Amino acid sequence: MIANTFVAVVAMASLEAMGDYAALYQGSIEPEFNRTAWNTHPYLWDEEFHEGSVCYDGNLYEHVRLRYNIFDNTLVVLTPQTKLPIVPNQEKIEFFTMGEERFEKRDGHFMNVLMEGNNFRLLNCPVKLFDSETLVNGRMVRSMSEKNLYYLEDKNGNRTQIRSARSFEKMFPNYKRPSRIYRRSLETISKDTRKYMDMPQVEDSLHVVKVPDTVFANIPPADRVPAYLAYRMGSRVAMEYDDDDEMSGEPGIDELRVLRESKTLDEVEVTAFRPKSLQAHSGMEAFTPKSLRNVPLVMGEADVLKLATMLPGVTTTGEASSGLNVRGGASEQNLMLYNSNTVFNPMHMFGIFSAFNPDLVGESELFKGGIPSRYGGRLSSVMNIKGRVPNMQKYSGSVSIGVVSAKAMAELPVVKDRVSILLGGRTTYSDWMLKRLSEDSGYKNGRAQFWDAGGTIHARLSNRHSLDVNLYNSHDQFSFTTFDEYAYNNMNYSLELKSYYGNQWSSYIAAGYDHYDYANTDKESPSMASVLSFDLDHYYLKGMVDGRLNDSHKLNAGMQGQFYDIMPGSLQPQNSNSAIVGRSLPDDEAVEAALWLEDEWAMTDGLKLLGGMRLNLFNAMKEGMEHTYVDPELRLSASYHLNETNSFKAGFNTMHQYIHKVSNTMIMSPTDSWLLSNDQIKPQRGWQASIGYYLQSENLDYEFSVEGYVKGMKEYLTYRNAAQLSMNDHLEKDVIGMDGRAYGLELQLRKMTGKLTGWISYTYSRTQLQQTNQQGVGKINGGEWYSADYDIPHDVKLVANYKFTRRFSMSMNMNYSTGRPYTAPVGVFYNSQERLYVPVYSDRNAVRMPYYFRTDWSMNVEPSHHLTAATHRWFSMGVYNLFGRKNPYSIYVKPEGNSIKAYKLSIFGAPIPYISYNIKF
Amino acid sequence: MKRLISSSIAHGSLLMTHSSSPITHHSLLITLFVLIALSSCIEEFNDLPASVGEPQLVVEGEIVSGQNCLFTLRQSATLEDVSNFHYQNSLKPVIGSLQLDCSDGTSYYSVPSRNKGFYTIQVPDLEPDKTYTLHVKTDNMGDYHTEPMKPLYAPGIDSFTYEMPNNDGQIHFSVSTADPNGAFYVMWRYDEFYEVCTPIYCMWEYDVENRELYVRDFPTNQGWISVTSNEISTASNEAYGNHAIVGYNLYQRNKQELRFRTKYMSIVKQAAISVDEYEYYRLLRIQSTNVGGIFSAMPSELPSNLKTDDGKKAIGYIGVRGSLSQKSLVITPKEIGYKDMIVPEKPEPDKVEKDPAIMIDRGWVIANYGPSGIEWTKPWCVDCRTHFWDGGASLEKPSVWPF
Repeated sequence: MIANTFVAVVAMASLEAMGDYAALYQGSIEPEFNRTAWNTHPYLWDEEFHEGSVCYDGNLYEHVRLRYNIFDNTLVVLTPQTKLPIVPNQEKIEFFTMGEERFEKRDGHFMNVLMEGNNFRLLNCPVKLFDSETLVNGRMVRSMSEKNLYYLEDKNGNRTQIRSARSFEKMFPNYKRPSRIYRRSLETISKDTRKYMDMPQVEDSLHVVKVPDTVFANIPPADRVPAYLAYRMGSRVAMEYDDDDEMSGEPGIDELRVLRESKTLDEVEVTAFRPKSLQAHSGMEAFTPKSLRNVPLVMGEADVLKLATMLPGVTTTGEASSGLNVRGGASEQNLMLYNSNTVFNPMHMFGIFSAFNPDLVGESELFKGGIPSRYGGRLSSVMNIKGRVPNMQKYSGSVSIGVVSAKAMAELPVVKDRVSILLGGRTTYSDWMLKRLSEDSGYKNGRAQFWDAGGTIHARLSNRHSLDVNLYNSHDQFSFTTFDEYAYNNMNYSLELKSYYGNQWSSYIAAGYDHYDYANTDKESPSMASVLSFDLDHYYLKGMVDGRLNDSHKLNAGMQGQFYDIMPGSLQPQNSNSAIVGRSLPDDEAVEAALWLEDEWAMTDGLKLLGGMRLNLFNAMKEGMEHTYVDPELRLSASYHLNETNSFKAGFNTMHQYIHKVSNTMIMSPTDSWLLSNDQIKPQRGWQASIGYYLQSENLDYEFSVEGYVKGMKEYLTYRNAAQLSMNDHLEKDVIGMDGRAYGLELQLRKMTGKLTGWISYTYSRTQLQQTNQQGVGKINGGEWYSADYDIPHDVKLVANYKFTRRFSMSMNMNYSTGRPYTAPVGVFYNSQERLYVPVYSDRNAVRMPYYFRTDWSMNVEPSHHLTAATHRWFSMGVYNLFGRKNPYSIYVKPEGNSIKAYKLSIFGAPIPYISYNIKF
Repeated sequence: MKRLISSSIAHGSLLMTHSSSPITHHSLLITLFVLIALSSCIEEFNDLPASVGEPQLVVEGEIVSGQNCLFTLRQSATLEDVSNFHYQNSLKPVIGSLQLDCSDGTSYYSVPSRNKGFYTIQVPDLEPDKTYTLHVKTDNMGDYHTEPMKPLYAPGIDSFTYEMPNNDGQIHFSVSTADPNGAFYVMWRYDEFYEVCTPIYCMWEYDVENRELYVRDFPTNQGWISVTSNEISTASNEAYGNHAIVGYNLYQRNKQELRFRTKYMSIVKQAAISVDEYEYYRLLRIQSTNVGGIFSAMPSELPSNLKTDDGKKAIGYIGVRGSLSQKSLVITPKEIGYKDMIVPEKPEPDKVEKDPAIMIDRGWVIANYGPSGIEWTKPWCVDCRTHFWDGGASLEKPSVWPF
C-alpha cells in the first residue's frame, strides 16, 4: 500500500513535470472519427474527454482527460498542453477510472466493476457494434448498437456471463423468487412496450428503471451482487428491434447507463431499397432481406432473384426461369456472385426456387449499368448477393415449413464476439409426395428433389480484421419417367479477409473455388443407356484496396486471377449391357486476369465523377485453339445533384465476356453447358451508355426516376439452326457470333416510407440480334435484325406492400408485359418417308406470344413481440397468379387425327396458393 | 420433352379423375401439391398467325444408283388451309418436272406418275468421282436445285440381330456397322415379311347366285405380308468410337404379335448420308414430336439442300446414294417361344341357318363340308387375304422370301 502510494506520487510529480512528454502521451494520434457516416459516436457516454486516472506501464497517472472508444476498445487520452487525442499503447494499460467508474482489463477488454461482494464481482463490458445502414434525412448513415455484457467473477477470477434472468436463477436458486416476482410484474406492461418501441427513445420510457439506494441497505455484503442482479434481471423490459424488423437482441439485462444518455433522435426510417439518387452508380439497385418479404413470391419462398425480376429493366424468358435478362442482355451475361463466388446455375427445380436460401442472404446489389471496375467478365449485369453476417452474440435459428420445401438456419456464436457460424439448409419433399400420387397422374414415376446447404464461419480476428469462410453446396435431381434422370450440382467455397486501416482505408482479399456439373441419364434404350455429363471448375483469387485519398477522392484498385477448367462433355455407358463406348471431349482450360483502378472524385458538393479502367487478359489454353486476348475496359459515371431533391446520373462502360453459355432452350436448363473463348470463339464485347434523372419528394416519401440506356454487343453466341450442342467435337461450328443492339427507357415511381410502400414502373425496351458473318448454312433470318428471345418492348410492374400493423401486412404484385417473341408454326407438311406431319416454322422469333399478365397476393403475419417467449412464430400465405391467367410459356402444333392442333403450355396456369410456417428461436 | 407434355396432359385427366375420388393418405399435402402440379397446363391455342408465311415447296425422294427413283412434289399447307380443311386435303401436289444432271454433261429426266405430284427418274449407275445435281422446275412455285453432290457409298452391315434382353416379351432388333474411314452417318430403313397361315384349311366355297357349292381353284390358307417401315433411323458413329456403330436398337416388337406365328423375316437397308442430311432427319423428328416443353430445344428452320437462285429454300433434303447395303434375319415361333392362341371362330349352333345364302349374308364362310353338312367360320380363318393385320396377305410369295 505504501509502495503504491509512493509510485502514484512519483508518477503525478513526473506527469506534471513532463507535460505532453509523459510516457502516456507517446502513442499515435487517434484517427478522426467520420461523424457524418455514423448516426452516433463510438465512445462510452459521450464524445467528451472526462477526467480520470490511468495505470500505465506500472505508473498511475491521475487527473488525465480520457475518452473510451468502446467500438474499437481503445482508451484515448488528451495531451494537457497541445490537446491532441493520443492512443497510448493499450497493452500497457492495467486499469483506468473515468468519472466514478473503474475499468479493469479482462481478456483485452476494459470492464466496469459494478459491484463487489465478498464472493463475487459484477463486471460490465460495454461495447458498440456495427448495426446497419439506414436512411436519415436523405443520407445513408451507419448505425451502431450498444450492448452491455455482464459477467460474474468469482474469487479465483473465473468469469461467467449472465445472459438472462433464467441463467441467473439457475446460478442463485435463493433469488429465484424475487427475480420472478419482478418479471411477472413487468409482463403486465409488456403489451404496451411496442408502442414505446415505435417512438423515439425518451427518458421516461419503460426502459428507465430507477434503483433506489435503499434497495440494498438491508442485504448483507456477501449477497449484494446476486441481490442486485435479481433486481436487474427482473427489470428486463423489451427485446430490441433491428433494422430488419425481426425480433432479435439479447433477452437479458437492461442498462441504466444507456438510459442515462438516451436522447431524442431524428426519425429513422428503415427502407427496403435505397433511393436511387443515393447510389453511386446509375442503374444500380440495392435491396435488403426485408424487401424480400414484402413481395409475394411463389411457394412462399422469399427469393432474391424473383425480387430482381420485379425491377424495371429486368425480365425473364419464362415463369419457370431463374435466368434474368437485364437491359436486353442474355441470362448468361449476368455475373451471379454469392459471397464472392460465381454461381453458374442459380436455380432449383426448373427455376421454381433460386439457389439462394433467403435465410442466408444479406444485402444484395444489382448493377444494371454503370458497373464498377471491380466487376468484370460478363456483358450485361452483376448481381452481387452478400451472405448474412452471423449473430456474434447469441445462439439463434429458424425453421420454416412450406408446401413442398422446408428450410432451417442456425447462428452459432462459438466464441462470443469473435467467432460465429451461420448454417442453413433447404430441401424439398415433393419426391415422396409424387410417389404417393396415383398411376394415372403421370407423375407416379417422376421425381423432383433438391437440397442445398451453406454457411459462413465469421471470425473477428481483431477490431479491424475479419475472416469469412463461406461454403455452399447444392444438388438437384429430377426425372419425368423411369428412363431418364437429370442431376446437377453447385459447389462454392471461399475465404474472404477484410481489413480496415484507420477510418479511411480498407482491403479485401478473397480466394475461392466454384464448381458446377451435371449428369443426365438416358435409359430408354437398354443397349444405348448412357450418362451425359459436364463439369466446370473455377478457381479465383482477388484482392483490392478501397480508401480515401483526401476529402474529394476515393480510390478503388485491385487485381483478380481466375482459372477455368471445363470438361465440355462426357458420354459414358450407363450399365454394362450398354453398347455405348465411353467418350469424353477434351478439356477446355483458360486463365483470366484483370487489373483495375477506379477513382471517385467529388468535384463539388453536387457533382461526383467516377472513372475507372479495367484491363482484362484472357489466355485460352485449349489444345490447338490457344489464343490470348488483352482487352481494356472503360467505366465512367457521373452524378450531379441539382439540389436536395433533383439529381442526374450518367454512365458508360465497356465489357468483355470470355465464357459463354451454350443453349438452345429458353430457360437455364440442366442441359446447358459453358464454353470458353478461344482462337475461333471470340470474346463477347459490349458497351452501354445510360442516363438517369431522379426526383425525390422533400420528405423522401416518394422517388421518381427515369433512366434510359443504349447498348451494343458483338460476338454474342447463339446456336445455328439444327445445331447439335451436346457432345459436339466442333461446337464452334454450331454456334454463331451475333451482333446485338438494345435500348430502353425505364420509368419508376417509388414510395419508400409509410404504411404503403412499393413502386410502379414502366419499361420500354428493345433487343435485337443480327448475323453479319457467314457461319452456318445461310444466315439466320437472312441476315436481318430480329428480336432476341427476351425482347419485351412494354413492361409494367406494380409492387405494393401495406402494413396494417407492425405484425400484419399485405403485398401485391402485378406484372404486364408484351408477349415474348417466338418461332411460330406457320404451316405443316407431310413427310411421306417418315410418315410424319411436320410443322413449318416462321423466321426465328418472327411472331409474338399473347401478352403476359400476372397478379400475386400475399399476407404476412410477423413474429409476435412477446418479451419472454423463447420462440417466435410467424407465417405467410398467399396466392401466386391470383387470377389464374394461363400465361404462355411455349406454343407449338401437333398433328392429331385428321387435323393439326396448336397448344399452349403454361407453367403456372392456375392460382397457386401457398403457406409457410416459420419458427425463430 | 414429349414425356413432360404427356405428363402435363395427364394432369388434366388427374383433375377429372381425382376430383371425385377420395385421396386418403396425407390428404392435405397431396391436395396442395396436386393444386400446384395441375397448374402446369396445356390447352388448345387458336390464335396462331394464319397470315404469316406462304406455302413452301416440299420435295421428297432420293437418288439411288441404278434404281427407278420416286420423287414427290407437294406444297406445305398454311395454317389457314389447315383450319379450313383436313390437312391431308390441303397438302396439294405440285406440277412440275425434275432433271438429274451429271458433271459429265449427261442429264436424266423425270417421268410423271399417274398420281399428281409423283415423278420418277431412272437413275443410272452413279460414278464415285462425278457429281450430280437435281433440278426441280415447278409451274407456279419457282425453280430449285441442289448443290452438286458426290454419291455416298454405304458401309457394309456387320450384323443384324435380335434379342429379348428384359424378359418382358419385347424383341429388340439391333444393327451394327463399321466404316474404317472415320466419322460416318448412316440411315436405315427396314422391311418386314411374314407368312400367314389360316387356322383352317378349306377349299370349299358357296356360289350364292347359283346356290351351289364348289371347290376353289387355289388355296387361300397361306400368304405373305410385307410391311415397309415408316421409320427412318439415323445414327453416327460419334458415340461409339472405333469407327463403328454397335448394337443400334432399330425397332422392337412383342413376341406375341401375329407376325411371329409362322415365319418372320426382316431386311434392313443401310445408306450412307451426309452430316447435313443427318441433321435434317434429326431435326425433322425432333420438331414433329419433341416440341413445346420446358427443356425442348427452340424450333428452327429445317436444313435443306434445295434452293432457288435467289436463295429461297424448299423443304426437303435430297441425298445421293452410290450404294445401299442390306442384311436380313429370320425368326421362327419356336425360337422366341411364341404361343399360338388363335381359336377359329364358329357361329352359335342355334344361329346356324339352313340356307347358306343367309349365313354368307351374315359374314360367314364355309369352314368344312362333310357328311354332317356345312360348318361355318369367319373369312380370316380360311382366307389369309382377309387377315386382319397389315391389310391382308398376298398369295404371292415375295421374291426375297427364303423358304
